[in-house]
Amino acid sequence: MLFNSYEFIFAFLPLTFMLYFYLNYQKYYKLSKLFLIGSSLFFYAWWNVIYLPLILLSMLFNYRFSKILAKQEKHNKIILLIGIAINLALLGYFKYYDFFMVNINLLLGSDITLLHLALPLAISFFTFQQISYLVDAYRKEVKEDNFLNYALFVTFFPQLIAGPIVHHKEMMPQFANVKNSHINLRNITLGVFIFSIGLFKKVVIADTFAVWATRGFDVAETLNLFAAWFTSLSYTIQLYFDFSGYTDMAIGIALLFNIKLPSNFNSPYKALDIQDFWRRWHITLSRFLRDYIYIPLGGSRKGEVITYANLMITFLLGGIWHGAGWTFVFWGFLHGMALVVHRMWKKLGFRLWRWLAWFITFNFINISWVFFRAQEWDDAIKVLSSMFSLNNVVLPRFLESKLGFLADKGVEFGFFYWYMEILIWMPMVLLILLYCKNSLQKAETFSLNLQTALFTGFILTAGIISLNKVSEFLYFNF
Amino acid sequence: MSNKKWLAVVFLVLFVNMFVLALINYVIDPFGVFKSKFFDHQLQMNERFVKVDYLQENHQKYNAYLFGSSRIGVIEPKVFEQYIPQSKFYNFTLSSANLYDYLKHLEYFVKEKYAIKTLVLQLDIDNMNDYGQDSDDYLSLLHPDVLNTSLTLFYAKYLLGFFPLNVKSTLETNFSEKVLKTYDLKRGVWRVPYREKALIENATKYVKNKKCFHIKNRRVIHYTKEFQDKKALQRIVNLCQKEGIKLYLFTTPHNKNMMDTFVLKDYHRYLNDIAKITSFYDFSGYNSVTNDNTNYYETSHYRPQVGKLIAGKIFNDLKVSVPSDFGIYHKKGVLSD
Repeated sequence: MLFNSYEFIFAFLPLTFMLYFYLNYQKYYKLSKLFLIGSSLFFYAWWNVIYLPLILLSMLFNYRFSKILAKQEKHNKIILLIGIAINLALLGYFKYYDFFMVNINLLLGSDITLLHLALPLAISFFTFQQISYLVDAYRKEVKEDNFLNYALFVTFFPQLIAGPIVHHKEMMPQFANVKNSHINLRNITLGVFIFSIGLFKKVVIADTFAVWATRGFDVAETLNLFAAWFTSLSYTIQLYFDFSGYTDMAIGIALLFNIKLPSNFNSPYKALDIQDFWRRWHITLSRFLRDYIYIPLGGSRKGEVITYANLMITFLLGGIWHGAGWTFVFWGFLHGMALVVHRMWKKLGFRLWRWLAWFITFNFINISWVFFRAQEWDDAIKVLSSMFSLNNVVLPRFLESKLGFLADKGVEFGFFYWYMEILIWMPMVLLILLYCKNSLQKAETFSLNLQTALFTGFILTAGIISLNKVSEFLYFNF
Repeated sequence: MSNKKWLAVVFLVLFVNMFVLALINYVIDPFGVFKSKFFDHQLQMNERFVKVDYLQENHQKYNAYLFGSSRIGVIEPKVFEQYIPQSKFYNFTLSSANLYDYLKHLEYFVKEKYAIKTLVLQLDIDNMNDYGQDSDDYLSLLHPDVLNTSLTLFYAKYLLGFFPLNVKSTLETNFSEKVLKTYDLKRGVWRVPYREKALIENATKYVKNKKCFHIKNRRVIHYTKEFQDKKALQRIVNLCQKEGIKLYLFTTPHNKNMMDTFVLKDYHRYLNDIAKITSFYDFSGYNSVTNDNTNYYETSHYRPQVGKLIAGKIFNDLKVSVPSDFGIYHKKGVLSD
């Protein structure tokens, strides 16, 4: 079930909310927890019930392993490594098997049959969440003796499908707090406010730009200079509003249940360097990569060269986590390289003007997203070639009378159809991105008054009436 | 302001806005799904819903169907009826249809025991290079009964959706003297009377003024997403055999300027794929009909007279002067180059 669907907004969410608090009101605390887990699994199974056993087995396995880790004093590291390996094997089987086999076939000239498996929804998210739990259990930072609590930690529906990737220690005390089992009007107000912003970001902004991004990438080989830039910028905008919109909705929904999820975005396109960007973009994934890959590898404690290598390894893995393809690996490589260069730059003590630092960072991110979005390597190259070639400039036909002399220089005049719409939307959205407070900053300064109520009422209306463009979230694919 | 008051204002604003929107959508009915009929002319309609809704009440009046995208929508049922005794055709043209539409509807008709003796299916490369339904496209959502989904949810989507352009164009059509497009639900055909009149009065002038006929196109349309379509075509052929339905299949005679957009190697592969599944008449390519722009409203849609030539060729009607280069019959098997 999608957050941006009628069935979720008008049926699933209100019913789950009411029944959960009714059970709590009757002091059936255990039953309410069980009900929330059941609802979350129903929410998950709505897409495809066939993968329900998979998530259940994964939970049972990891819970059991964490218990062994908690009891055992000897050989804990081996047990942990086995646990992680089994989790990664599951992920590898569903997500990476075909990718590896295609490459093996290519290298060895073999003909190993591909599986063409559909990727189980949220597998990357619930696998990472549970790996982090195993590591925390190994470090004796968490202990869970109740399977219901563990199941709730993994399946809690606002964060189940696409994060934020949460830690057990930041979730379970909240579920355990009896105060949180009663309706809290302040949290409902704030939850509705943040959810409305998220819904608007997703269905009004992201889905509008999605049309242009998809259209551009579908005809990558015929894009002219401007169309190629509009295409890549449209995707850059779509991706941010899509994913941060989803996260806002998740945070808002969780608040209705008195649960505070960690923030995942902090105006990433305002970043002035690549390190700054990764502190603002998909914060909980960055936190995971830092705590469970970069630091265990040695982080920055083993000299400059090893630090650079650790950065590269972390980001190559981050790249492939997003998808089984060389374009994702290359995207990770680009970001790893950018972080290495940025680190060297900082060491040398160089500084840039703020506007130039922003310009370089934003354009690097925009260009690297082309690899992230392209389905084939060729598509990425075609879009990028068009973005940087002056041999394919097409201007709108109405300019022909004034700029016709440019035809001698190879400039063509033709259809501009969809660009005109983008030209209206893009400056507005870029201004919002660069100069407006983000949703969580707005939530921090939120006050109860007529202005915020009307604002919320109108953006919620705009979101709901745009539900006719039902579309999945981009991060569901990862 | 208290939390309760704040929430009350938010939901009041939401409720009032939704109510006004639902009222507008119901009264103006830009997709024709509510049959509210406050306005006479329907510029656009969701043919998939409206036609199935009509046939649910009237299917016993028909025993033959024309299936195809909007391009087949100008062929009058009687054009085919004259060749098949006792046949009563319904033109089940659907805008931007693909094999998914044809298969789903044929399966539904068979399931509902509609009496079908003949099926005429028009294919073009667009039909075979896309599969499924675009859930954003409110002109094309299938009738919930065809998909076995909720009718209430379907109506809710049309009531609560925001369709400013469709509402605007419906109002414009009804307050303008020019009726650009008409639908005849009983025969299933559509008409563009204003264009047809302009073509009858002065075809040369019409063609000269229509920009799309004079644009130099590039061959950019590939044929790469055919996997599911081929399977669907095979299932249609099998279903026709099983149910004793006589199937006539032909390819769209695309205007030459549209033919210029297809990658020829891919186009040939598309024809080959059809031939591997069934026999068919191929009217596409460059011939004296497709090279003559006066046979078209624009580069995508041919005029009714082309439909007569198609039927004349299929039924070998010597009274119809079908140009000798128009239409080739391909027997099931691999095509020659």
